[in-house]
Amino acid sequence: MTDTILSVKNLKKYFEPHQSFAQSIAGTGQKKLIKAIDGISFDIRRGEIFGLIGESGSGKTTTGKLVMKLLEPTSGQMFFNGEDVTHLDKEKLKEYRRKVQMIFQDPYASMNPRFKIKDVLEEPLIIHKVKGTIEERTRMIVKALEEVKLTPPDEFMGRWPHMLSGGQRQRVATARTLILNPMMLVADEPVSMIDLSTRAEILHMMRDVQKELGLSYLYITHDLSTARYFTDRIAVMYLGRIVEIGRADDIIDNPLHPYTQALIEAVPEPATGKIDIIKELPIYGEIPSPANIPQGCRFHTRCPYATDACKNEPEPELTPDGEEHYHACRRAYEIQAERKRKQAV
Amino acid sequence: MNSLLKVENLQMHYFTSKGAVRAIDDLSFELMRGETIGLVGESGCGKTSLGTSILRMPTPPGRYVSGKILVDGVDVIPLPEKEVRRNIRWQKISMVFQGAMNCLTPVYTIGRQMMETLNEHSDLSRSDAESLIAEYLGLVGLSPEIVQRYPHELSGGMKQRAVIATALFLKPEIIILDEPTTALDVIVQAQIINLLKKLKQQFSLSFIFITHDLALEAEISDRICVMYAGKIVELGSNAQIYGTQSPKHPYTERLLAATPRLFKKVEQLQFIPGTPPDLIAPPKGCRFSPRCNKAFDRCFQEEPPLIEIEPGHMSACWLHHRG
Repeated sequence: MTDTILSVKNLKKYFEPHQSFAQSIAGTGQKKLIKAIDGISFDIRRGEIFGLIGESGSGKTTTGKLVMKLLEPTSGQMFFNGEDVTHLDKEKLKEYRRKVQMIFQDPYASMNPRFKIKDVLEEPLIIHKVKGTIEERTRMIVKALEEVKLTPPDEFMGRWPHMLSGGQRQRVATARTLILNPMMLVADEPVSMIDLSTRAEILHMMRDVQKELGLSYLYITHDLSTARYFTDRIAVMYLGRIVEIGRADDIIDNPLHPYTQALIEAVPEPATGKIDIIKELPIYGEIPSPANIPQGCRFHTRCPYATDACKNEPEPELTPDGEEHYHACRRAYEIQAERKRKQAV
Repeated sequence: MNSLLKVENLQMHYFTSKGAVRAIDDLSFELMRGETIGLVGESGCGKTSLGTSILRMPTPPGRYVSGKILVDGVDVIPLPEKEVRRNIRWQKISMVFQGAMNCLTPVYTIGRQMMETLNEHSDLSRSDAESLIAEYLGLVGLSPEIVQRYPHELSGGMKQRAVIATALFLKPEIIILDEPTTALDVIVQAQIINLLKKLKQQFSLSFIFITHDLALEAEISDRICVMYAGKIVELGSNAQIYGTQSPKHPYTERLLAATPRLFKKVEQLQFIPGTPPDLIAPPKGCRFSPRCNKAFDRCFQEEPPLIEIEPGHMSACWLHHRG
């Protein structure tokens, strides 16, 4: 046993664009592949909260789906707990899904409105044919509800989803994953639909559960502020690649890739004196289509620091900067020096 | 600065089968020319209800109960619908609705949907309307050829720009923006905020900016109006809310503490336990008292008045009355 729970190696996921029947016969349709994930590698350690950050279209949700095995990768490998899980048959897949569970973004859509909370929590036990008497199952449900601090559990078991607030539903969603004793949770924007006032409450709960049960999380979000607060390490994704990866504090305090820098600059801070300032963002335009990834460094079309080398030479790989911090920018240090000079002025 | 919009003791309730939901309950504020006022609060605090009420189109079963909405000194509540359509809605006050960019009809081109607004509210000829559309698309940073595109061909940011352009058409003085950036990525959000600031200067617009995100409000609003359970609990300038003095009302204080900050590493992020109250039967006394950690006897008995605690800074809390 190693201390790595999930290891992803050069994973790729390409989608074929939609073609009409006539196009496929005549062969006239565009055959450009949509490169949603274009070769990513990362490790998630045991008991770690790993954050995946990026804009819409960066491939973070697709990565989550690949890890959940809701999608088959085009190429690359995935190891879970030392075992190759890149391709699994039906039996093995069910076993895998028991160990890796998911919390969805929308707590209103992810629960059957006609199930009572007890039924919501019992469903995974039925699907995974967990043996036990009614009393044993009830005990498991009570335990799961207690773990997410929905007390008294007896009261909540008889309620319907519509009687709960968004925060409470997300607790039920977490309880539903915990009932099968998973090793890892994939959480795709678990708090983005929850009111700001209770967001922290859900994150606290998730972290308490994680510590208590020694779980690992893959936390997918576009929100840097909660990622810094909640995660141990962060990987920043852009157009299907990881452009920077490192400890959460290093990524936020010392970002090396210009994309990470732009993301950080764009985050609003609750401080006064900014009403009349037009923010200068060190980035152009919007994210290109993954069907049409720019040549060279894929970020060069939006990068204010890009040179001819960035356009013409092959894409930079992740290179280390000190401990655990990697970036994929050939001008990282020049840019850093330039920014420091600007800040000093 | 003169007053453009004045809301006086407004009450707007939703008359449901279970009883009247007191969504807007005795609320007053004033919007000056060229000013941005921010409405913040949790979901269910009445921010959007206030927005649609000002536009004189409360969502059914919502009805005005009492109070006035003065636009240039004229109360718009008793005006006939025809008059509101001709002179107020979209002419003086327009609104970017929450999720408007996702409500564009997928089967019509952007141009056709923008044209619809002009046909409804103006007598422009087709060619004049087309050139107006092109001009406004340019203003929001879109190329005029977008009129031929369908919504699914545009990104979220582009759709939101088109929706903002549509809200600007008839040169309104006030634009109500309801969560205009909630579904957008941070970079696009910052771009839209920049655009709004530029447009505001160019046309000396006044904004009512609705969001639940206090951090975003700090970027754009001159004054911040914090709502809780259909009432204003605190109203102050940007500096009074976000400055070193820190807000005065416990609700604002705790909302701010619950806002995650990128550069301030905190061990434990705060949160507000519980949920906003049921507005059919709001709690006795201060409506925030059941969730307030500073509440004392009086808070549970009497409702605190909104008082001026320093020039231009209002707050409704019994703590201000204690020595």
